[in-house]
Amino acid sequence: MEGATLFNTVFLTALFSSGVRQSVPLIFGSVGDCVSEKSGVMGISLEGEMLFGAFFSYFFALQSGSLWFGVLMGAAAGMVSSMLVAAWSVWLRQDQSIIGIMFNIFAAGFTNFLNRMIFGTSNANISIETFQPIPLPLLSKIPVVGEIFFHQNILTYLAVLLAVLTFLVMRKMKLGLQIAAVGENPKAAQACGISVYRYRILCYLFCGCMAGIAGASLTLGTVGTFTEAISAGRGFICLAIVILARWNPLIAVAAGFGFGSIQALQIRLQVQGSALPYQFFVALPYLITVLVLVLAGHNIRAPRELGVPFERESR
Amino acid sequence: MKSIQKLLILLLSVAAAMLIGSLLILASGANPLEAYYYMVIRPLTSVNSLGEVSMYFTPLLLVGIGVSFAFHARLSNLGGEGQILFGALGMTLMGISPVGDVLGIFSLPVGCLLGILFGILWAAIAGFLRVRFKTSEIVVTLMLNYIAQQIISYLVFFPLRSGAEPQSEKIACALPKLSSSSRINWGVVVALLLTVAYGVIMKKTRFGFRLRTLGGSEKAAVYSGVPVGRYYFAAMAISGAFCGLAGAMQISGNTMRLMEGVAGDFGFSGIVVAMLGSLHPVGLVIASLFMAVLSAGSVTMQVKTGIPTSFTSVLEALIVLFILLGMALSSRRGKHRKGGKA
Repeated sequence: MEGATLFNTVFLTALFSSGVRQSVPLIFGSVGDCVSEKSGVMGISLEGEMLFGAFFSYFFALQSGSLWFGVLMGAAAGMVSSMLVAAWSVWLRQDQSIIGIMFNIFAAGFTNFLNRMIFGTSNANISIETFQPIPLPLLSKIPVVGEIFFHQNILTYLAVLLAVLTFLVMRKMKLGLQIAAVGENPKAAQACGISVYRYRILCYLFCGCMAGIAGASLTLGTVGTFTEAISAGRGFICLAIVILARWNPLIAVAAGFGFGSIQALQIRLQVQGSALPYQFFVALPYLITVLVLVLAGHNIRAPRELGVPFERESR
Repeated sequence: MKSIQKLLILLLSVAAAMLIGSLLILASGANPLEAYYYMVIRPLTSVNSLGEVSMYFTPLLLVGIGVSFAFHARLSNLGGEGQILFGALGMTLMGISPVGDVLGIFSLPVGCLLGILFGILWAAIAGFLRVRFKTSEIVVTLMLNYIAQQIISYLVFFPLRSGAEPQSEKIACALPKLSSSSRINWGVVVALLLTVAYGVIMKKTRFGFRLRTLGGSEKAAVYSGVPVGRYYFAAMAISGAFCGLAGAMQISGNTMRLMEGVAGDFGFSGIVVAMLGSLHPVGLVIASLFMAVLSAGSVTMQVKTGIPTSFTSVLEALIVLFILLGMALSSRRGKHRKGGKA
């Protein structure tokens, strides 16, 4: 009996510890999307920006031998590529879902193209040493909880730190209020002298930067290499997390951990073998995303002008 | 916007995308002219390769029409892939079942109908959730793609598997060929006839008129008595029907077996077709033809120049982004001119 309970604690600790690792890209992505959606721009292209971040962080980390330089370039790649989306959806006022999806096609094709041209098809999987876990002093000594939450790599801590900072800026500072005003009532915001375009574009660039780090956390934090379509729908799962979290970055951390744990469970059940076919487990996170959208998606107060282009000259 | 102006924007967008594409080709050390020759000209030079083009043309056109129906109601059906997979499943189930033997030559049309039905069912999930719970059809259709992939993967790995490869048995009912010297089949004719039907529905029927009203403004639609929920649902379902048919024809006219990846990139390329063809029946046909040539040609290009086929997705996406740019800039100019007059 005692053996069984021990196994369970060990199993659960390993499961949730892996859940935290899986949640890192989701937290970066959804915190970024919280901000851009607050300002009124949907992050449908998160998926593609993640791919850009994943590829360029891996490429530059491999070339320079520095993981941090990789993360930096991943963030830059996410941000630069998001300029395209920001220009098209804010400045040109085009349909955000079409731009988002076209950008994702572009990102998938372009990173795939670069990957093939640079690394070829045969030796595509050159692995690099990923970020190693850093046990936090004292906190990591707490039984079970310490092992799960405070024995992680630096990107995990960075994700939570950025989420807290974002929360503080959005809730406690004037800047956060101004961003919310741009998303709720852009005309009134403009009348108060806030440049709606500038706020929306900058918020979107922040989102792209976060998505780039999310991609970097995939290649440099867990996988150690770039594979085609490595983001595997995580960008879209972030959109569901943001709705579930009601545009609150702190709740997004918790929701991201939830989705990360489902992902970790899925991988474990797949490896362990079970009566159910493994495809069921692969499909599980996507299925749960739909369920979350349906169950948590109503009675919500989304930013009023979310997804609606703003015309500066309109009266 | 004047249609000549629109046409100009479309052509310029294609040209601009190809220009940027040629920079990419140059950067990868190949000759752009050579690469584009294999991609755009070569597929048109032999009967055999034209047959290959038709293999891309039919599903692109069908998915393009499907996506257009949704766009008219201002819905984004990004779930083409899942709906194609389900349509392919419908056709396969008919093609490998003993019922197919009983039905004889009718098993092909019945299989197509089953594929359409399956496509409708898969799209209807998103339509229902949108109407009943106001759930964004964008995220739901995307998620349904991933789920459909896994369902098909499960089916071909386990219950439907035949032999060592993860694929179903060969189906008994093939689409009849149009000519003996290439792979072109009657699917092309059906797709073209359905394009005419699409044009008639959108321009001549009450349904089409109301759908366009709904797409123009939901408020206007409500005030003019359109049952908005039912129309959203119908637009999604019809969209799924066309994608399902594309899937059914993909099985009966191309692969003959259900397998993973049978939907190719058609789900998303169909969106490019709808944009490039600007939802117009003739435009859709030309856009599908162009995209089919690119897709067929990119395979040869990869073999001859080493440029991966994923280059086509880059080109496709750039084309649409340039179209959006052109539309935005010209409507802005138009507005200024109007403002000046008043």
